[in-house]
Amino acid sequence: MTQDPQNRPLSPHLTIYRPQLNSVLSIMHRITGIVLFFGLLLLIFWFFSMSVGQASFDLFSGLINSLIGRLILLGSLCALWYHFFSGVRHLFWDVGIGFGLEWVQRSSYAVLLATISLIILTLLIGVFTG
Amino acid sequence: MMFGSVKGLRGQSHKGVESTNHWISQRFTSILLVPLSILFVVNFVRVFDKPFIEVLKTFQHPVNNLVALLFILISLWHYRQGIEVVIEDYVHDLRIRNLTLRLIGIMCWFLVIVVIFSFVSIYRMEI
Repeated sequence: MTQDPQNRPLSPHLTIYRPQLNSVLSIMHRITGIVLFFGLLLLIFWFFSMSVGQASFDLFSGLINSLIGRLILLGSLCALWYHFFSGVRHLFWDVGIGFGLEWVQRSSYAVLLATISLIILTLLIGVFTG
Repeated sequence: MMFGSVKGLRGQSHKGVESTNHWISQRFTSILLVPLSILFVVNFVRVFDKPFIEVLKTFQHPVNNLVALLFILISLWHYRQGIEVVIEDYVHDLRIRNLTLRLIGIMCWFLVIVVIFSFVSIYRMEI
């Protein structure tokens, strides 16, 4: 019965666990949080290159405005809005709102809908003012 | 019994009263990032593909400069809080865990210095 305390089995047992919408959205919050750090680094480099001067800014700006650069920015934007709305849902849970299974199910769809809407809205702002 | 004395638990976000403070300050940065994200992203998508002078003028405006600076610094702080919890969840070897936490701390402080330096230079830059 006694096992090595440093080596106890961990829950959930991922190899036999059936994923559902709620569990997938939950781990997505972590994954987007980790991924967003790279978007943040890109942003920090962008401002740093701006502070150095026009030559370095033009070089770095060329990189983030290339196809790959824009795809990374788009990915960061999607991750940002997902993490944003999923995080807002966590804040509601933190004050005790929305715990019922039915409400969790509904707010999952609300998070997805809000994320997609804001991605489209942000892209439209970018296109029409760019 | 104090939670902090539970065997095998180390690190700030899973230990006694420190974990409560960690939890509260993580909520604090989350709430601040709600308005800051919206303001910054709207600014950013409007100028990210513009020429140098235009981008520079945008971020020399005191409000834009401050919003961008706060967004980046608070995001960095928020990232550090989040990654600490993730590491304490998944890294079970205490030596590796503590080393990773320390390295992330050093990296974040280094980035804070880079960011503040950048924003002050942008603000003071002569066109």
